[in-house]
Amino acid sequence: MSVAGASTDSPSHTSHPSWMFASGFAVLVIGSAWLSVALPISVAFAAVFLFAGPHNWFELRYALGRLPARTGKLRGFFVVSGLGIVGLSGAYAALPFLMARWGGLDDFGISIWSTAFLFWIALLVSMRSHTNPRFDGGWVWPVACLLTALAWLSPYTLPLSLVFLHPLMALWLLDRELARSRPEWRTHYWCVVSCVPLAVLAMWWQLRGVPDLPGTDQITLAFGPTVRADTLTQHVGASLLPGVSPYFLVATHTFLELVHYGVWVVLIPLIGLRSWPWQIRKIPVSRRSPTWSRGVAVFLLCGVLLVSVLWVCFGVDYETTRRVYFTVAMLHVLAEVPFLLRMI
Amino acid sequence: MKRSILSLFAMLILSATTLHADIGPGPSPEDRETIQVPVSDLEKMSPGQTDSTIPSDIAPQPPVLDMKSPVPMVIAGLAATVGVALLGLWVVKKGRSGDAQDQ
Repeated sequence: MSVAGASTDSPSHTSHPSWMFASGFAVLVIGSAWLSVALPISVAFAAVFLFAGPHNWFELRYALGRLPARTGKLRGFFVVSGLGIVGLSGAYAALPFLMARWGGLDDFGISIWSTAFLFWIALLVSMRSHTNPRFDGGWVWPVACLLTALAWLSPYTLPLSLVFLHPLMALWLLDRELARSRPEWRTHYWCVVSCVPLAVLAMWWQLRGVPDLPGTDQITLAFGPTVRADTLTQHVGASLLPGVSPYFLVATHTFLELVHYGVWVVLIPLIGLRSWPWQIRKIPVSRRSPTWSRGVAVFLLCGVLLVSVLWVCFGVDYETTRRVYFTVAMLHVLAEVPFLLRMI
Repeated sequence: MKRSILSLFAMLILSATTLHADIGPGPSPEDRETIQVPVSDLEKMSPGQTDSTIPSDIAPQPPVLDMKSPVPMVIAGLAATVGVALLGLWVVKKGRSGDAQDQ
């Protein structure tokens, strides 16, 4: 994943100084925080509608640009990654059906899934620690066991943590990309990243006493029965955190999602893409043969088509599409784990 | 150095066993909720009538697998114990490799 070498014909403008990048990122962070506090429900719905599909496509394109042409000695790592991504995503999608079939299995099902997820990550970290640059990965198994204990004591903690931590993974990936491409920009980047927890803290201070979100708002009224505001409060675990303001939870999640989309749709393509998105020949795996090249082109074209279909589906039935999307989206959440590990 | 590592290891094992002991075996059969059948309903039963003929609203329901069962606590206790033991081993191993480097 991190094997593909850098080429010199980058679409990004190398003359851009780091402070411009940092300023743009700061505008993204502050703007997202302000919008999330002012219009949490409307912005959350609009952001998912506009960027859910495109950000996945950009993520796919970026990953293809970073994947090595041949797996070589990393074959085992790729096999474990692929099996985990497909298996865990399938199990996650199947959980609601299994729970409906066996009532009372709810918490057990989630705990089993969380255990498999934790040990899959532990295995990947362990495998990664044995390849260059090597590191001592002995701590990973005890940590996995201790987190597994937590997953059984409090089954919903891990899935809920993923909802909030997943957007932050984009920041970590951007940091790794900067370390490779623009190491001199990292200092300014870290300064702006430190504003993210400060922004969350400020949001909490602002929203700690605010009444619960209304069951209906302008968006609900405009789109009728296809959109429900309480879907958001359920998604961010408001029922699991009774002591925390649902308004704050929704606003925080909206803020993190907006930053996440901004990083994937704007910043990482600007910094990390080694070629224009349509330059298929620049993707390492497509250089293997004309067949591979055509395959990658069709794959990316299908992705564009899927983004368009997603927009249409959101327009027809937002609520159902959102639910389906966030189930399928587990695939890209999981795919980021091995990708990030190869970037370290 | 070695002594401090061993002390730490012993402390971790002790905390793991304490945690495991705190979890315990779960509620005893006496503590579990029992279904109270009104005397009037029992009086309606004819001699030889089995539980299966008791009206469904008062019949005992089949046991449901839920988080009140001790299974999650037992698994969590085992995972925590193994985790702490592995952590201790890793700390000891790191300590030994550190001592070897010092020498």
